[in-house]
Amino acid sequence: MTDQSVRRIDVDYLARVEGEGSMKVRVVDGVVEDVEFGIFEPPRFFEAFMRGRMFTEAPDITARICGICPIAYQMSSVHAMEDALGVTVGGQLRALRRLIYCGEWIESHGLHVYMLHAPDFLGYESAIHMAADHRELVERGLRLKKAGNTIVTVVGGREIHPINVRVGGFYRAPEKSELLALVDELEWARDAAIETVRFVAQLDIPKIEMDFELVSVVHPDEYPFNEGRLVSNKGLDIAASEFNDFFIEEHVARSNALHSRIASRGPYHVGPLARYALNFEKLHPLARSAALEAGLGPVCLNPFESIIVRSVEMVHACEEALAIIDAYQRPEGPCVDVAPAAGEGHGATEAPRGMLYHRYRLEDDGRIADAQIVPPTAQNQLTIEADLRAVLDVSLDLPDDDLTWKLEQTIRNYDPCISCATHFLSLQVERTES
Amino acid sequence: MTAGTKTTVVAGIGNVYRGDDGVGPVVAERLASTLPDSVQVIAGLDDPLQLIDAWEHAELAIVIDAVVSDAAPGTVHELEVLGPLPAMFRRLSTHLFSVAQVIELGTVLNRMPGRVVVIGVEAADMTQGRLELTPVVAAAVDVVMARVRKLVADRHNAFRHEVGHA
Repeated sequence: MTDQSVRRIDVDYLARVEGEGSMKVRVVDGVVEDVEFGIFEPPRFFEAFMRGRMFTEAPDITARICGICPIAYQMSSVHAMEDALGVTVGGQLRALRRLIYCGEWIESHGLHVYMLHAPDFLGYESAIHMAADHRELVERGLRLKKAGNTIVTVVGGREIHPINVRVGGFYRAPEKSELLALVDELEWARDAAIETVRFVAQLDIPKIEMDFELVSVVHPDEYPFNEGRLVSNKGLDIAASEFNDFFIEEHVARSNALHSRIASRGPYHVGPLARYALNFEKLHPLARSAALEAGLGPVCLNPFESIIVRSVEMVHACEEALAIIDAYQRPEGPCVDVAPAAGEGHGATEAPRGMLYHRYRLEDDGRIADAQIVPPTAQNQLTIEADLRAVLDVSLDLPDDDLTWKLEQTIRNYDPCISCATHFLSLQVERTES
Repeated sequence: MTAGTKTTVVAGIGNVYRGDDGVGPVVAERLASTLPDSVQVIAGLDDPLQLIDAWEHAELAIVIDAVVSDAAPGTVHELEVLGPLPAMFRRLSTHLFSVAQVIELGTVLNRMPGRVVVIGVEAADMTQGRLELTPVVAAAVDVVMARVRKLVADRHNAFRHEVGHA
């Protein structure tokens, strides 16, 4: 190594991440000098795109933001619109919303745990490589994903960009028999999810603990999907309508996605770890006992253990879906009436990757005057950088290939849906020694 | 084969909110009402991994996707899948698993249809929020539709031929 020599690792794009982005690490004399996790996207395109559209169009347009979590975008948008228009959706229509959200969680977590994250822990470049040696794992992941997709198809009309969700409810409420047809596969999925918790718990998981400010939707009676207050483990407890009073979004040169922080405090963490820690007692007993059996306490601050928490949430989502189906009675109408009016509304729901906030301001005729969408991955950007620093601090002795692998794995802990905000992730590690 | 099972699957991959990335869904939607009942048409699939399930009973699978290579925009590429796909199908847009990766995975899992044909249309503009195809890609739509109809008809005729001699 000569004076001022630079070691660089270039990776064209980070695989197994939904979207595109970049990461740059600079190490000088063995000290981490700079960590940048950048996101490149035509900024905030959808917010501009929605101005002038009718409030009824928001669920379908926002569902196009992400092919992996369209339900989350639909749910946050319909709740925000209903908040603006003074409408409350309850009873079986509310239950159907929770059911379709269960489907999305099962699909998204099944995909991430088996197809995207497990290869990191087992030392495979991808699920394709892993499939050659562990076909049963990949098949189980695909079947779990399909079980979630099927719920979304039955309730949402189709799996990708579901078209059945509307402000006020649904265009059509499913027959009880349509939901009962899902039960056998959901019972399989619940058992497979319990097996998944056992499987991921015995993986070789790096040990770090972060001092996260965890933020999640919290509901008095339910593990959170659609409704509740925004609560943190460090004292935050606000209504969704107060989001902009407490959260700050700011532009940073290296990223087209706005960085989020809690005013006067700093970065925070949204996602499965936050939901879990703030709602542990509301998990279904089967999910809770699976977590305890896996060695998790009621709070988990190791981002690498998110793979266990996602698996626990799959157990919960399967049980929740089965309970909703069991209690389901087809409502008399598929939706409540919603009339256009001027107003402002807020919606915060729990996407698989964490809290997703929407705000809309409407004109008298129901046209959208202003829209704000704050996706979970954008909120986690600063926290991801903090995790990368923490991992680098204890991993600098690794050779470049191993270090790159570990940093990519650190980013994948967040299941980042960067396409809500980015392009491919290119990775560059620069080591300078003087 | 059970009754009602679709033995031919035509899937258009892409997002119509991203300009030419929507060429697959556009072709699939226009074809949907014109193909025989034995054909399942899927438009607007932007998670190609779902092809694995869609192909469960398929003997012929046709995939239409936007591609980026060095060819002129609007160029129609057609590949009979006999092995791994070339680079142009590997990295595209924000698809989680590319069509190429799905084919690799399907091959490893032994879950591939008897025949897979991938038709790629060279994209010019995949800007988010662009709701139309560029003129040069729009001009290729008819070419692709005609090609899909021919592939489906050939399969249909071959099937009738087989049945006729059974």
